[in-house]
Amino acid sequence: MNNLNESQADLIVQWVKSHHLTIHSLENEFIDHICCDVEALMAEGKSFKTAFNFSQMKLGDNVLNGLEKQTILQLTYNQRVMKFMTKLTGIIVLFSFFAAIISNVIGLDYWKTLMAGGMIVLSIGFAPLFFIEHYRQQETGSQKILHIFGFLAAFLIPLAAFLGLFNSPNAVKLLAVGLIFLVFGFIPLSIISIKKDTTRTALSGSIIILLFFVLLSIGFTGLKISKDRINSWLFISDATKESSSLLNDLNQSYFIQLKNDTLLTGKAIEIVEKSDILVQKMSGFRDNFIMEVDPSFKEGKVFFQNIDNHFVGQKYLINSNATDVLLNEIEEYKNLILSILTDENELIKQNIASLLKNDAQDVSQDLNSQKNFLFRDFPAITDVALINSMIVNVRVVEYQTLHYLTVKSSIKN
Amino acid sequence: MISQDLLKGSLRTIVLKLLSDHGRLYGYELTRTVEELSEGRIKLTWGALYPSLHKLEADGLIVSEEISIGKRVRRYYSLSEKGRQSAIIRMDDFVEYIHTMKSILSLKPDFSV
Repeated sequence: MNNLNESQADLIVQWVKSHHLTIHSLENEFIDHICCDVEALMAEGKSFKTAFNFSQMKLGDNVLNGLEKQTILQLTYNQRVMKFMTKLTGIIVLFSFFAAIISNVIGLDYWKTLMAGGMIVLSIGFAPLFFIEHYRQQETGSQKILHIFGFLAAFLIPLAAFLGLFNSPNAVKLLAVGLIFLVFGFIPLSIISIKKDTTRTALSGSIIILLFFVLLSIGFTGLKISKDRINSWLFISDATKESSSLLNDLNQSYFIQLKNDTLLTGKAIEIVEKSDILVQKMSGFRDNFIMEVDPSFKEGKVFFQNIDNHFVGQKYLINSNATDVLLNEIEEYKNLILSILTDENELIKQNIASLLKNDAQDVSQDLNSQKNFLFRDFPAITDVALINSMIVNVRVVEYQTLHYLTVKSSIKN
Repeated sequence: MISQDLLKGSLRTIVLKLLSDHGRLYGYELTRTVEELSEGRIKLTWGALYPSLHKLEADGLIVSEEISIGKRVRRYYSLSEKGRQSAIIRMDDFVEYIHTMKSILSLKPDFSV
């Protein structure tokens, strides 16, 4: 094989360099490849000029630039897919939040679904992709740490907001952890990075912080319950109040009948008195709770002015001693009724007991578990409806007890 | 001449196998080797070869080494440890693929010597 002399090699080098390729290693390979090709043609008896022209013809116009472009495309395929997915998930998140805000403003019920969808995409799509994409570009350890903090905050805060929308008590814990990463990790490191004039990090930081504000403002401070749902809870609350009043009237008629039975009058008086006292206490408990949630609340108003979420129930019902007192009184009332119904069959007693049961199956019998079960995850309006239904249950128990006493009295006579 | 379409899916296997057999090769040498082994039926184009070599390197399957030869720099490629394992797997897959293709296309051995 004929080896090229220096000037011949130079010509080939100049020609390849005239294409202004950006990948240096590729440029070297092209030079070597053409040199080898020309040498092979020269070995077949062609002159350098003919061989070089022939080699150029084989390549065609702009092939070298095209090849470089193709190489770049192959090498950056994963990054391009990731970039595209980051953009796509980002658009979906922004669209979902925007649509959720609009739906909330115009009173549509879909806003929670939109927010939830947006947060899922943000937590498991945009935030990890955004993190990986930027993490790989970081060269220094401090910038990598900054991105880890940013990612953890960007993952945990939306997740907390998402859980918060479904009234999960774990939302607060997650939010706290996310905020720690944000306040003590990401923001200080971002400020340091901005000082060092790393505009890219500052920009990424700003985008994440902006998203946090959107999430915080919509997911938590602006948590509202749709009007339809409030109306349905108000309806349940009013209906239970009315049932309670009707049952009370019915119970009065039984009581009048039982007054004629000298043996059972004492028991009937005790039942009616204890029931009235308990209902009075439960009503007072409910009204106190309402006034605590919203001191300006008046009868007939479309519920609370203040933010109404499960934190309210947690604060005023689960963490309150008054709830302990009330639940103990219900327990005492239950025991009193069961002691009166000593000779009734077990099924009746079980039914009566279950109406006054403060817990559900599989829930521990201790007071804290009962409170947590009763008033868990509910906004204040639901708690009020729940207390009203508990009042109805007391009246039903009173009714059943008086009814059985009346039947007993009739049989005896 | 075997079409570029058919070659497309096999190029990485061909490169890995040749590097496995020859130790190290540079771009032009690879094209010549393929041409010789295939008796001129396979011609690797620049467009297929160089992007693939750079992708294989980026994937960690091959490593490169540059050696100056006068005015030019020659880039030799050889298999990495990961590439050696991949070459074995790819060859096994390829043999299986050929057997499958034979079955699908009902190809019979040619005894007409």
